[in-house]
Amino acid sequence: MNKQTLDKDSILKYQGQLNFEIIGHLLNSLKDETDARDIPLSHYKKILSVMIEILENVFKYNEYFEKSTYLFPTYSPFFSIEQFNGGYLLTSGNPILNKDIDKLQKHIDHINALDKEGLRQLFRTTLTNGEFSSKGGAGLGFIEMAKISGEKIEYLFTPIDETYSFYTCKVFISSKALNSD
Amino acid sequence: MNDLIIEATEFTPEIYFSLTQRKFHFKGVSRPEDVIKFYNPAIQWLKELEQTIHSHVDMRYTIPLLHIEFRLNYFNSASSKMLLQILQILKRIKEMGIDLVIDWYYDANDEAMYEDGMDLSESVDIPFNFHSC
Repeated sequence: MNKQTLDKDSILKYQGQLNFEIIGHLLNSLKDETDARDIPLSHYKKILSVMIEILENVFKYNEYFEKSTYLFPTYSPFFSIEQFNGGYLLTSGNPILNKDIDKLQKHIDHINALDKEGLRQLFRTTLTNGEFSSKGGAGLGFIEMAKISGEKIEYLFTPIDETYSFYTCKVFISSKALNSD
Repeated sequence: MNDLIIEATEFTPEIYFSLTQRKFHFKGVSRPEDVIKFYNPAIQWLKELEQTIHSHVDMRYTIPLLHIEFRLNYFNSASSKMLLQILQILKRIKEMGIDLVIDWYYDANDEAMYEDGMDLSESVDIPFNFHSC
């Protein structure tokens, strides 16, 4: 199931396969939607930065669930942006291997425990020393999202079966973060 | 050495390294599908330049200064790791006696791009000139 729909408070909503080209289409859709709604450029830039990282996290993890076709369409990846309480809520969802939950949870908890200066320091340390692959940046994406958001990253793991859970990640760009420049 | 020119695409920046003009720049957006593969030619080119300068001590007189411009609209966090690698090679070139001028341009509406430049500048310990536009 691939669909892109618009709701009243929704800026963008997508559920289906996520690959490099589809992420590109979604980024273009964000530009169209923010233009149509007269969303300020400074807001657009922050949404864009978080959107790239949250979607690339799902994309990078594709290989661990894409062959388990029984998961789809019920547990297909999804992504949404909603205008909410003066800010913007970005949500992603995808299947995750149960064995990977602990590591991810610890990584997000570690980031959530840091203040703005702590995040900057962790970003720089990870930038300089973090392990790196052709697909990703050693967890830099989560730090970047937390730096922009100004709020804690929320997550939820809903069990699917003995192998997988469904991982939901929510990043809220608050009005405070939007007006910080 | 021949100039290195990589044209921009929808998701990758223009990379322009010209030794004859002593000007280098990165322009556009950076969200390559494979960051290591995309930035490898630029990194190899700079490593070759580093070796050439190392073996030709007179180059620091013929090329006293390199001017590098970053004019990026956005880049993903994976790209920042590659930009740091590029800056680390440039730093070694600077340590061989060639001055660097690094100009970092950012949209006045994009404070995160300014902070990303600050992070890179401080991580590599080279000052950047910041320009909002």
